[in-house]
Amino acid sequence: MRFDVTLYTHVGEPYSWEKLVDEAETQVKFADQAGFTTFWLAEHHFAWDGWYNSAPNPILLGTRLSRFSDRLRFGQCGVVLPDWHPLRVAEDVALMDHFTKGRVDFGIARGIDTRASIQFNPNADRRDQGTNYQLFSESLDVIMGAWTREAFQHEGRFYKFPVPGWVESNPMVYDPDYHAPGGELKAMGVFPKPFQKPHPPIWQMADSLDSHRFAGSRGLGVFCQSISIGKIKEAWAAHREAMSQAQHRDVAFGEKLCVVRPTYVADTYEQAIEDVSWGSKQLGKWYSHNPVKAYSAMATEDELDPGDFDLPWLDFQRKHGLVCIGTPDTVAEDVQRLRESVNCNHMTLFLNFPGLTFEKTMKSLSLFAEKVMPRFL
Amino acid sequence: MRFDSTPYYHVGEDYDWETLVDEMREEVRLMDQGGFTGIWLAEHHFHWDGWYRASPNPILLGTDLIGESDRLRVGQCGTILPDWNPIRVAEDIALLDQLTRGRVDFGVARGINNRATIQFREEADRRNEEHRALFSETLEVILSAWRDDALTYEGEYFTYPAPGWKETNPLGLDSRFHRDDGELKALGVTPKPFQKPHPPVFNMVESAGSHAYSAKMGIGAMCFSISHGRIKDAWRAYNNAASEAAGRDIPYGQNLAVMRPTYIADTHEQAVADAREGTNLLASWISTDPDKIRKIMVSEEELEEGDLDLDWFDFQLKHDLILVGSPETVSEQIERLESETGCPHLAFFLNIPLLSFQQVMHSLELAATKVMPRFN
Repeated sequence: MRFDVTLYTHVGEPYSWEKLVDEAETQVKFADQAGFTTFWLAEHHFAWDGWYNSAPNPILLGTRLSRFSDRLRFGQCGVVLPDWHPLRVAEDVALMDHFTKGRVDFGIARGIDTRASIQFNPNADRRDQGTNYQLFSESLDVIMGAWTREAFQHEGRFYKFPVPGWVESNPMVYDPDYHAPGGELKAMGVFPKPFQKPHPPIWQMADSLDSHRFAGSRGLGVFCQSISIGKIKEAWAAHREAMSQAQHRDVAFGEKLCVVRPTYVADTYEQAIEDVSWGSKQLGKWYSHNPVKAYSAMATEDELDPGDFDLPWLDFQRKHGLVCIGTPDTVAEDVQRLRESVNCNHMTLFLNFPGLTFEKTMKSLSLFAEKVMPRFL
Repeated sequence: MRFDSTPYYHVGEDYDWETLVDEMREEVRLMDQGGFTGIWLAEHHFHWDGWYRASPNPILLGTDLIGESDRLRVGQCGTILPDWNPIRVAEDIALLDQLTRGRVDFGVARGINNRATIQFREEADRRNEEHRALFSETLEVILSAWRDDALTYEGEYFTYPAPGWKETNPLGLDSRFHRDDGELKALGVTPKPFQKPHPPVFNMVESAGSHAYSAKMGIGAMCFSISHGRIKDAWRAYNNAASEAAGRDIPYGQNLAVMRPTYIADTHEQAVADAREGTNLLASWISTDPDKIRKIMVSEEELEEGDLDLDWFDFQLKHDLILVGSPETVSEQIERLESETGCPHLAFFLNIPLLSFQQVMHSLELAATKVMPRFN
């Protein structure tokens, strides 16, 4: 079984970047030794109040942190495509893939923080789901085209490349593959191409059925985070069906699919619950101030019992297996349940319970690496 | 004198990126050992034909290359501001500054490759005058994002925050950032840079007017293709504007730097033979009207009869626009630069086409062992 990990970034507390940089380097060195496969970094902007603390550029941070391990892969969970110019993403991820000699997992997302997204592109606003989705999808087209085509052209709702109107006056660079007679630029080559051929693995961060279908039809992997086993079964079946159809083959259930779980391990169960309880309340408040709506998307109707919507965030999460919190033994049982119920082969640990110290987070990570992971390797 | 350098990108060649990354890292290790102060990285896009080969993101390339050194500084020559979203630049430079614990020199430029620029932002098209205003606004947003805890900006191209976001989550409400009804009124851009208030800023410019503009904006300047006479004019203009803006006398030469194409071989003749063809090739790529450029590079007083008929390389060498020769002759060229302009800060530009990696490494070694020690 493959285990990946995310960076602890002290979500919810204004935190010194100097300390955070030291801690990130320490955590990467630990993850390298502990046998994790990929180290994932989120993209979040304008974290003046600690929400949602993270680097604004997971490609840049990953490039730096990759210098502290020769074997870990580095991913983004994810690059919020609607917030970027797609050619920059193609260039930057390809550059990073060269710097790491092919250790990039390209993670993408539609964005969960509209406050930030609209600062970059008005069409990234998720209050208009249709436009955001089209922008996301078109950005992905541009990126994949830029990586896989020598003389690249694109025309869509939001972008046209090359932008019309450039006529080459220098005969030295005229090339019939790229210029129309008369010199007008008609195609462009985007460089560098990625180190991994044809491009790094692509993973979409998504929970919904529609997004799983979209990713399957495009051959992308998916990381789901906040859905129950019942919901995972539905989503993974949809992904499998879409990918089987698109690729004309019988895709195995669970192929290219990963479950992310907020995870915290302590020596005793009581200690674990106590350590995360304050942070869980904060997370619950931030993720949504309308828990009924959020809860209903997290589990199936069959799984939901009367009164579930009245549960505090952490209790609801625990009841529906959305978090792995406890001792090495109970967390191993949580992982085993994922294996048995959906044949989960790939799990990513999300560490950001607000209010934990770095020491507690590292202790939890050590317990997981030493006492849980070996049971599944 | 402070010495910096660029890496070598194999401009004009169809060159493999895997090898290029390894070579650049080796060059930076040599610079680290050889007593250089900083490295400078250019931004160029879409080099399908080898022109102009460099990295499309100098901030990201710097993030990698700085992994080879615990002491070198890392700059961009420059970040092409009109091609970027200003918030991304503020965030990325600040992040790199944090990751390197304060070793960033922030270099900015208006861009010289319109073919690339318009792919990112059509208003950035250098064929209309608007691009100057766009550059200024972008720079203002970046400096404000670093300086202000709560950023508000309203300009012709950018408005921050973008209107229309009302906070409904009570956890996030804060009177510095929200109006009473929850409407977002300011942004806190994070992280802030490690260096306070922000990294040194260098504008990649040539003209006296652009030098004076940089001084007014409170940032430094780095020139590339102007003669000693032109440098003196430009730096005087900078100095006057800087002193006026500060309301006190700013020492001449402060925050100013020169970048020069540089190549050193064991003998002067060898260096000239190695660098001539590539230098000429670069010129024919950059301009279809080289005579016009010659008169911009060199002042009227410096221009002598017959200069316009010289081979491009000979013209450059005659007017000290390139540093090419043996350790002895290049040292003489640098001495002239120092005595005639008072230059305190010199960056080597290695990208003369058609050189091999071995030639470039040898040139850097000669610079570090036989040229730079004479100036320290």
